[in-house]
Amino acid sequence: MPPTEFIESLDQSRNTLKMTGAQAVLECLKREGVDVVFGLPGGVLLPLYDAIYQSDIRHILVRHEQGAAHMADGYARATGKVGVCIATSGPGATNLVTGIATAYMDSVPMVAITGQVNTFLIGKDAFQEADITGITLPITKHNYLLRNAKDIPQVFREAFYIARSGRPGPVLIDLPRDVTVDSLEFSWPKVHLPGYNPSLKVHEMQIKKAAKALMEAERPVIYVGGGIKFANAHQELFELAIKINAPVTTTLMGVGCFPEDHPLSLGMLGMHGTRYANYAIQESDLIMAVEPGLTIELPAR
Amino acid sequence: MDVDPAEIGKNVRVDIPVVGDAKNALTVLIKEVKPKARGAWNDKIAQWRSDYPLKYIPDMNIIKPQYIIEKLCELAPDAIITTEVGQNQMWAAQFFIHKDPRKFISSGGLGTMGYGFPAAIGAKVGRPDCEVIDIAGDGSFLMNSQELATAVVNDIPVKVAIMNNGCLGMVRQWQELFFEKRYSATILGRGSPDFVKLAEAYGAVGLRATKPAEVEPVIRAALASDKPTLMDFIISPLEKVSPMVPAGAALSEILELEWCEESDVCSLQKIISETCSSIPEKEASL
Repeated sequence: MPPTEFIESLDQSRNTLKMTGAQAVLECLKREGVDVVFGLPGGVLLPLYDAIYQSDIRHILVRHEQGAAHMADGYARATGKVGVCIATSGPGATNLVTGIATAYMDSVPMVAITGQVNTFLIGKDAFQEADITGITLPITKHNYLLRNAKDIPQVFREAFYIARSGRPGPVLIDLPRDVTVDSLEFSWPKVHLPGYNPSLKVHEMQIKKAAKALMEAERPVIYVGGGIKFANAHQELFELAIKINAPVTTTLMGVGCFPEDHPLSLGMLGMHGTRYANYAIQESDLIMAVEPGLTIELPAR
Repeated sequence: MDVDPAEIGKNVRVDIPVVGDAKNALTVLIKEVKPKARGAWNDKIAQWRSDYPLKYIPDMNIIKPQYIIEKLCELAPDAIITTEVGQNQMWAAQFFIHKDPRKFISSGGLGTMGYGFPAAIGAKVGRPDCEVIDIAGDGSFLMNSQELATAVVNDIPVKVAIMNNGCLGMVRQWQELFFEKRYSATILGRGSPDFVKLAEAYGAVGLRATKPAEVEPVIRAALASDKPTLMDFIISPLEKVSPMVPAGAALSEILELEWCEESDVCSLQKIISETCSSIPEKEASL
């Protein structure tokens, strides 16, 4: 019987239920609103895949784990929701690396779940062991190596919150086999991360300064990157550009954030951008950069 | 303006930093600014736009990749476009008219070849109501072509448009421009499969166009298909992405890249014919 039905029936009394780690993972995914996961099973994931078999979550079996990571990424970019991919320990996990790095560079909300060898074998060169939290440290927004089944609800709650909040990004959860087999009392925690406070509120004084500069500028250009997509702010961008009659150019990541058939659209700028976007940037007296990620292919001069 | 304070001043000096959620910040900013006409500035831009549009030289005999993208845009203007990385990605960004922030999906930062096809599958799973088209190159597509099996067995009817030039086009373009046409390791030659047969081997639909007149019928057939469908467009290996700002140059030093000289055409075609099996001459299977 799916664990959720138990939980709902017990919610009124004590809000907990005994279940396995694997069942708890599925329960967490359900509570986070995940309706589809992309993955490929393996030895250490047998308990998790057994729980998937008994749940109603949609699992899309890929043919290579890199595909799972990119599918979760494409799903996230198309819907704005957190994409989820699953791979087994060792080669399964390392095959995710390119996909995780892709999502990290483009700030895509993703949760990657990897199998890991039993906790008592970690560091002993066990079969299909790889230190995936070590490997992905520089390409994840955060990552976790679970050591106790009781931590599963807290870690999954945090992982989804971190993945989608502030500047979004991929979060990896490494799940040793014994953690998925052990049982726990499931309860749904609150997120409490005192050290993580995405700066969402804006400083009014800075906005006033920006507004003044925009009003004084004769030749402004609004320069937009992909962050607009996840901030869901393209309507506001459109409104601003129309109000002050400022032309808008986008980076490759920002393509589509301003309708390219509008007279104020300059299209894409940069190495293979339009000539008029590049000329406009060079001749502008003010560049307003919105979530630009001023990194690649923007020449120095 | 950025939600991530670490971005402020990371690569470019910033005079007025605004840290915060873009939606919040823009909402406040809209209230703070007053309407302003900028006739002279926008007239100047309009003049540049008409003087220097994105362009390509149409051809009656050879399929131009830009023409394929324009046709895709005309026939599927509301499609979600994913891309691979390289020339296909730039043509897709340049010649498709993008209007929706969630409908252009591309690996911008890492530049991952092999990204577009699985990303298209993921996008289609999330948005089954949308047409999803992966604009691909022959080099990139092969990197994750095994996911054709995933698309077929799960009935995920994504479409793939391969700009098949028989080479790693963007690197080849740089070799042509900056390495005196020494095409080191960029000609794929006999290593490329017959993409139509590859699609069919997985149970997907494969279509091919070798002439400009076949482009539109192939796209129409693909859009009418309710199965994963691959379009193999045979284009010239000589086609370049233009315009281009050379690395390290100022944005205003942007170059319009012209079609190769006759002698270049001959020498590259010689290289390709020596290494390539001939591209099947069969008609697009409609």
